[in-house]
This record gives sequence, structure tokens and C-alpha cells, in this order.
Amino acid sequence: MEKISLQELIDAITKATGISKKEADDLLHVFPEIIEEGLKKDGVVKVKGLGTFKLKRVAARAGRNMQTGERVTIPAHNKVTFTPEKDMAEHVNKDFKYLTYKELGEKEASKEKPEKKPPAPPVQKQEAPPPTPVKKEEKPTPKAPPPPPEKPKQPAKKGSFNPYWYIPIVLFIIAVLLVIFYLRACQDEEPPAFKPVPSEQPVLKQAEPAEDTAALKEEEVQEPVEEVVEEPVEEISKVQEPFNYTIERGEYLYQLGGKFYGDSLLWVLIYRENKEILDDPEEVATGKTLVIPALEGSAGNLTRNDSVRISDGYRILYEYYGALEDARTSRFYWGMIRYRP
Amino acid sequence: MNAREFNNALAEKLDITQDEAATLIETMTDIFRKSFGKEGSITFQNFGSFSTKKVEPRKGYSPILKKYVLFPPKRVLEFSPSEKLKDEVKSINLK
Repeated sequence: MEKISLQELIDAITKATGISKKEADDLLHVFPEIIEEGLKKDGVVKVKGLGTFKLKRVAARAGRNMQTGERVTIPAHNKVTFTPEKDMAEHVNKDFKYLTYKELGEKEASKEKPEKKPPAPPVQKQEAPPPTPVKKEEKPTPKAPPPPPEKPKQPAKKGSFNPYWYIPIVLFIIAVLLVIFYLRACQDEEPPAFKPVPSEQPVLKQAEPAEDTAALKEEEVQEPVEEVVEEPVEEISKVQEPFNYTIERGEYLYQLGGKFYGDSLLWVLIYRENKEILDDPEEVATGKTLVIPALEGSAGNLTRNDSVRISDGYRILYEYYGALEDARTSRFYWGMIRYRP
Repeated sequence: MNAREFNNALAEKLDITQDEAATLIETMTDIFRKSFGKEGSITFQNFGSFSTKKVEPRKGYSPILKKYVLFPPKRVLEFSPSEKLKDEVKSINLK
């Protein structure tokens, strides 16, 4: 922001009108005086081409003395407000004139922090297929069910917002679901195998599918599958020593976050460590060798040092996207705040 | 004080005709406009300063659309009164 001195203004005015410097100087001194007088007299001053100055009454309120912490009452008083004229406001805003709002999903909006989550589950899903569907249905029985019912559904919905990344993943999920559904149909539909098992889960699940069609049943089947997969991943997640890793075809950073740390949100760590190699965080060229930094704690239990580095990673990305004026900037701001130690 | 009254007050103070005052105001605001368009700020001693500020994109509820939306960034013109003006104005009785 560049400060413009009165001298520059005087020069500009003399140039534009042909009046003497003395007169221009007078003008610029008289101008605020008149506004001040008008405010004192009427409480409102309109200046053509600039805007409206107005006095506004502020009611008395309780406050605190900042130095002593003592309670004080701030008495009622007036304050000056300024509203630029429409023309002026539009001229100031000309750079951003063509931007419009962007709609958010209900969940994204209400949670205020969501957008980085969707990548997480897809990664795990891709690791899912090897074990046969039959095994998967047995496993959930003993293991902790509570978290999953929300997780799998969210990504399914959010995924559809951002077609770029999710189309292949969604297709993949559908394929897996179809196979599982088909196998289950062959085996004669006997849900009791897992229905009574988890305590709260089934209630949630049954409520929805009951009303809807077969399409939703697929979702029902999908959930137990992921429960199984998530558990082992968490155990693997600790990376004690930094090491080198060569990116395979089709792998993105957030997938690596899920693969090595058990939480794809931590991918920023990898980006932070390799930001000289990677220019654009979204396009990681296949075959590049990256350093995977160590995580002192685990995804669920970060140490202070981890938090600092993650928060810093989000800060870097916040600045990166901020410079591009990208709408996603706010996600990284969110990450910066969330991981701040 | 409306725009016309402002104009007349200026004419009186500078001892010029009202028409001349009108053109002066026009050129002056035009120069202001150009300066603010280039993100400049203008300070008047004992009165206050005009500056532009960038408002970051933010999430919010649009009552028109009845939806949660991400509002785009924008640049706005702000006026911040000087301490002297603030003080002088504090205890005026408004109608």
C-alpha cells in the first residue's frame, strides 16, 4: 500500500484544473474542515463522488481496562462511519469484480473445517481389495466399530463436489461395491452375520437403507469393509526415521500421507520437506524421489514438534494458494489453525 | 449536510462560485478515485485517513440464497478518523 502525500495530490489537482498551488493547498485543507463542521452540525455529510460520512451512536457497554483488568463502563458516545459511494466502491474493487460466491455443501459449511478429509478414505479403499469379501465381513465383529459409520459416508458425498480428483476413486469404489454385492447375493443374503455385532452402528445404518433402494444397500455393505482396513493402517503409521521414497504412477501426496502416517491430512509434512522439488502440490510427477520426514508421535497423538511442522506446512500452502487467489486457500488456513500447537 | 450544502460551503470558504466549487470537487474526487484504484492511501492531518483493504474470502450464510457459500475476496475503501476527530465528535447530541 502506497501512501500518497498531500503534495502529490496538490500537484495532480493543479495539473487537472489549472488553479494555483496555493489554491489547491487551500482546497485540501478546507475539505476536511467542512466535513468536520458538517458532522458536528448535522451528523451527516454527503460528498458527491466520494461517499457519506455519518455519526453513529454507540450505546454504553461494559468493558475492561486493558492495563489493570479492572471493570469499567464505556460511556455512550458517537463514532464516525464512512460509506463510499457505489461508483467509488466499484472502482476500488475492480480487480475482484468478476468473482462470485461458490456454494458449499451442507456438511462442509456446518463443520467449518472439512475439505481436506475426503482424500483420506479413498487411499485406504485402494488397499482394501486384496482380502476377500468373506473375510472382511467376519473381521468387523471383534474390532471397534464406533468411528466408521460417519467416515465412509462423508467422502462419498463430498467426493462428488470436486470431480477432478474423485472420479476415478468413485468409479473404483462402485466397482468394489458391485463385486461385494454380487458375492453376497450369491451367498444368500444373511445379514445377521454382522447386524447384531456392533452396538450403535446398525441402528444408524438400517434407518437409512430401509427407506431407500438397492443403491443405498451398497453403502451398507461398504462400511464394514473399511473398518477392517483402517485399523492396520493406524498401526503401520509411525515413521520413525526419514527415508527416501519414489513416487509410483498415480500417487498423490495426500495418499502418501495416509500410507505412511495413517492420516492423509499430514501430507503437508511431505510437501514441506520437498517443496524445492515439487512446485505444484497437486501435480506430483511419477518417478520423483521424495524424502519422507519422520513423525515423532503418531497420527492420533502428535508431539509438539510435529504440530509445529504440520502447521508450518499448512502455512506454506496457505501462502501458495493465497498468492494464486485460489478459493481453496481457506482450507489451508483451517489446517494452520487446527494443528497449531 | 447534503451534497449541495457541502458544495456551497466549499464555495463560500474558498471564495469562489458554486459552479467552480462543483468542478473542483469533481476533479478532486476523481484524483482520489485514481489513487484508491492503485491501492494508495491518503491521510489528512487532524482528520483521518482513507485506505483500501483486502477482505479475504470467507465462508458465510447467504440469506438470499439460503445456503452456505464461500464469498470471494474483495477490496474495500475504509476511512479511519484521527484521534482528534474521534474525541471531538464523541459527545455531540444527535437528534
